[in-house]
Amino acid sequence: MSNTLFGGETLLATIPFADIVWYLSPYTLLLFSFAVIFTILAIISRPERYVDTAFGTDGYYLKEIPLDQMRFQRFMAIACGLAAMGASVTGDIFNFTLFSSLVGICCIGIVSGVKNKYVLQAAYEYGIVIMIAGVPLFGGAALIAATTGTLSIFELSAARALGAAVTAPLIAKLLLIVGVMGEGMAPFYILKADIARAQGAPYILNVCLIPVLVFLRVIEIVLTI
Amino acid sequence: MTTAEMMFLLGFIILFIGVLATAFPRDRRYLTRLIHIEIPSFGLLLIMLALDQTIALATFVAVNGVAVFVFMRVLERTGAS
Amino acid sequence: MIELETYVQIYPFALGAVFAIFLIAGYSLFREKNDLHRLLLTDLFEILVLAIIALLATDLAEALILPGMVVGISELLVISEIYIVKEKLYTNVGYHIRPQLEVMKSAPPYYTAALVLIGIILSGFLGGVVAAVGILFYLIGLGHHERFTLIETISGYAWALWVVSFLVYFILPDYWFFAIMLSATAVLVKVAAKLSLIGTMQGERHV
Repeated sequence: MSNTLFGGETLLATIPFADIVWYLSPYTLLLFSFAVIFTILAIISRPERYVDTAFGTDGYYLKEIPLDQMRFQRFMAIACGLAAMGASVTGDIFNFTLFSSLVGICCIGIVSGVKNKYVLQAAYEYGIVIMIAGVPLFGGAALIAATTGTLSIFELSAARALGAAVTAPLIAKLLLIVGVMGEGMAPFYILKADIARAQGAPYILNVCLIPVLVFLRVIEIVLTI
Repeated sequence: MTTAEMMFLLGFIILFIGVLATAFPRDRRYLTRLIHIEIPSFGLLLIMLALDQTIALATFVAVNGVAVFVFMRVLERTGAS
Repeated sequence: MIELETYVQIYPFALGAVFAIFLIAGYSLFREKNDLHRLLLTDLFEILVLAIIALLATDLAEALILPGMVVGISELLVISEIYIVKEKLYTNVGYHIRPQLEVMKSAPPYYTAALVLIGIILSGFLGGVVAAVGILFYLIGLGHHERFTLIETISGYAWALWVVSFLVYFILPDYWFFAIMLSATAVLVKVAAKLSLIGTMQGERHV
C-alpha cells in the first residue's frame, strides 16, 4: 500500500510490522479485566471524607478533602492501572520487565502525594528497594535472552513444550521472581506508614492490588517458559 | 590477547575498583561519593566500547550527565559540603 | 571485536564478576544509615543493570539498554524529588554566577545555530543532547528570563507529535516508517528543550 500523497516519491514504506505481540489466554484476559476494573475505579471515585471524633462526646467531624489536592494521586493511580494492563497481556519478557518497573514508579508516585513526614520516609525507602530490585529483574531477562536467543514468550513456551535442548534456565526464572517481588513491596511499606489514616484513600487500592496482579502474571510466565 | 579483549578486561577491573572505592570511601562527604560514582561509569564505557555498542555508549554518556545534574541539585540544597 | 568462541568462554566469569559487585554494593548499602548517601549508592545499581544488559553483546543489547537507562533515570528523578520534599529543602537555593565577558554576548547566536544544525543532522537522542548544549550556551550568555515560554511551547508541540506517531504505530502499523521519522524529530526537540531547561532553572523559586 504505497501513498503518493506528498507528490513524487513515496513517503511511507511498506515493510510489515510484527514486533508487538499480544499473549491472550483465558488467564491473562482475566488479569487484564481486573486491571481495567481498577483503572475505572480510580477514574470514577472521589476522595474519602475523614471522620475525626470529638473527644469526650459522641460527636464527630467530617473533614472533606477537595479533589484538586488529589489530582496527582489520581493520575498516578490511572497510570499504574495502564501499566498493569500492559503487563498482563504482553508477549515479550522485556516488555514485561519495563511495565513492572513502571508499576513500581507509579506506586511511589501514589504514596508520595501525601505530605506527611512518615509517609514520605516510607516512600523514600521503597524507592531505594525498587532501584535495587531492578538488577535481578533486568538480569533475569538478559540471561534468558543470552541463553536461548529469544525474548518472546510464545517461542519459549513452545520450546519448553516440545522438550527442546535449550530452554530458559532456572536461575533466570528465579531472578525474575526476585525482581518482581522487590518491585511489589509497596503494600508492606504503606502499611508501615499507616497511610490509611492519611490522604489518598481511594487511590491506595491500586498500590495494594496491582503488584499482586503483576506477581500473578510473573508466576504464569515462569511456569510456561 | 587482542585489543578488544584487553579493553574488556580493563573495563571490568575499573568497574570493580570503582565500586570498591564508592562503597568504602575514605571520607564521608557527599561530593566525594558523587565523584567516585564516575569511576565505575568509566569502566562500563570501556566494556561497551569493547563490545562495539556505539549508540548505547553515547546515550549512556548523556544520561550520566543528566544524573549528575540531578544529584547536584539535591546536594546543593543540603548546604553541606 | 571479540571472537564468538572466546566470548562464550568469558561470559560466565563476567556474570560472576557482576554478581560479586552486586554483593559488595548491596553490603555497603545495608550498612549505610544516612538517606542521602543511600541515594548516591543506588546509582551503582543502575550501572549494574546496564552492565548486565550490555554483556549480551549483540545488536539487541543496544536496543535493550536504552529503555533500561530511561527507567533508571526516571527512578532517580522521582526519589531525589521525594528527598527534597521530605527534608523541606526547597527554600535553600544556591546562587548562580553569570560570567561578565564580552564574548559571551556576541558569540552565542552563531554557536547556537551551528550546534542546533549539527543536532538536527544527527537526530534522535544524540542530536537532542547536542542541540541542548547549544541552547544552554545561548541561555547562559544572553539571559533566560523571557525565553522559557518559547521553549515550553515548542516542547508542547513536540509532545503532540510524539503522541501522534505512537498512535500511528498502534493503529496503522503499515506506516511505521513515517511514524519513526515523526518520533525522531519529536524526541530531538523534546530532549533539547528539557535538558536546556534543567540547567537554567537553578535559582528560580519553587523549583
